[in-house]
Amino acid sequence: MGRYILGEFEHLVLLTVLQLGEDAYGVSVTERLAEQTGQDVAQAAVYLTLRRLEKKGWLQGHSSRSPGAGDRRTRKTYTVTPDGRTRLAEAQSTLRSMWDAIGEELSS
Amino acid sequence: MTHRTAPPALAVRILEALAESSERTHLLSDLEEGFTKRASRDSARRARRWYWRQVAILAPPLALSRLASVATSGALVLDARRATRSLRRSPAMTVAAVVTLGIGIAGPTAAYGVISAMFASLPVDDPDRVVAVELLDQESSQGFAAPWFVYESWAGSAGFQAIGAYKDDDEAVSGAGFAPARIQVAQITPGVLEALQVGPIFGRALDASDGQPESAPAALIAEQLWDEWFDRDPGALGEQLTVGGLPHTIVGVMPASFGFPRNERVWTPLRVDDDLVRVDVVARLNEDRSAPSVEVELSSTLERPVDVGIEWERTTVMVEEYVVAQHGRRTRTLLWGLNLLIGLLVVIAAANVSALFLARGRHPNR
Repeated sequence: MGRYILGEFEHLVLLTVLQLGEDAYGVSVTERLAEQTGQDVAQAAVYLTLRRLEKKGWLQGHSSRSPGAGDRRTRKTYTVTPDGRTRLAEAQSTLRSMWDAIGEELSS
Repeated sequence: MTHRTAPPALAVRILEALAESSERTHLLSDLEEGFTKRASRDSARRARRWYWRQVAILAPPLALSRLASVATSGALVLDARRATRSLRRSPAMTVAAVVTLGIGIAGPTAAYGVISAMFASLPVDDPDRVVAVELLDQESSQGFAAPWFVYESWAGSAGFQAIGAYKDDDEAVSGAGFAPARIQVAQITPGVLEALQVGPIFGRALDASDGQPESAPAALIAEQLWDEWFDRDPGALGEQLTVGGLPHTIVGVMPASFGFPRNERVWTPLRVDDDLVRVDVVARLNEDRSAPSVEVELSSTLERPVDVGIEWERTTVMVEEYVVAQHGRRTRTLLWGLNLLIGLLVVIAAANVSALFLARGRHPNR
């Protein structure tokens, strides 16, 4: 079976969750993505992607209470599962081999 | 009194209805946090619009998920089988039901299409930063075009990245090789294209010198006219057009998607020889400014000379997203309300047809 190629946005979201560690939840992932890509990122799109990645088993969600928001707010934080890490590594390897194949063309 | 800014209640209810119970709390909590940050950074109005945009993105996939979970529960499959059997037994009634629903669905779909087209965003980058700037009669709540001297005072505002004035009209346009036609023509200052961040696909844009009385009149034409009249010949640049009886030289071709302000096909420089001429104004807000803050700034610095035909004591400045300003907030609310009502009627019609089938299912001999 061939390697699964991660969608670009899925790829970015997974990497952002990895970067944020225990603080990865909808708002923080959106803000970090916007900061690093320099683009306006829709929080709804991030939420849908987190949900999809969780269903695929590449992220694991954990419920926690929002700090400083009393009892009212809860948030769902995410961590990348071992399967998710494998997908990321595969995606990196696929991209690297494709870039290697055209690297000379781009530099010439 | 402090007023707590909260997300739009209807939008929250929509999400509450669509989200699965396991995800509802987290989703609403995250969105509320995003909303609160935007409300304090920009404005409550912009934050509410942001919230609605998130709902628009989330609603279709959440609704599909709910449907999928119902469909896989088994009850729906059973109902569908029963319904198919019932439909086969009474074809006349089936046709009647399908026609009823078809008409019901076509109505709102057409209405939705018309309203969506009316309020579609401008085909430019960051359309929500493109604003119309008008004077506002506070008594009637009607906006009106500002005199040229007021526009010139606005042009110096730090609230705008770019600002331009325009007038539009139907004009007779003619030239060598094509039949004279009445075409929508806009007279614009160079700032209009700068505010919209749209440039010609070929040739050059209008610049400040084009608006001077001593310069040869220049014109931009739409890509469609370049195609139709000149068969996309690059030699179209430099050709003469007669617009409203005056000769103009074509200097550039605008992309086919561009028709500002409505469905214009020719753009010429706006030349103003009277400070009291009324002009429409479009601008692009600076990144760090919001429409309300610029509105306050312009209202406080508004010059109010006497005897210019404006009742200044009840006049202020209105800065509003361009698309909204074109149709009026009230019109938009009314039309969407009407659309909702039509949708509701379809739901009622569908419920009645379903009830009819259920009744026949229970008493097949009636």
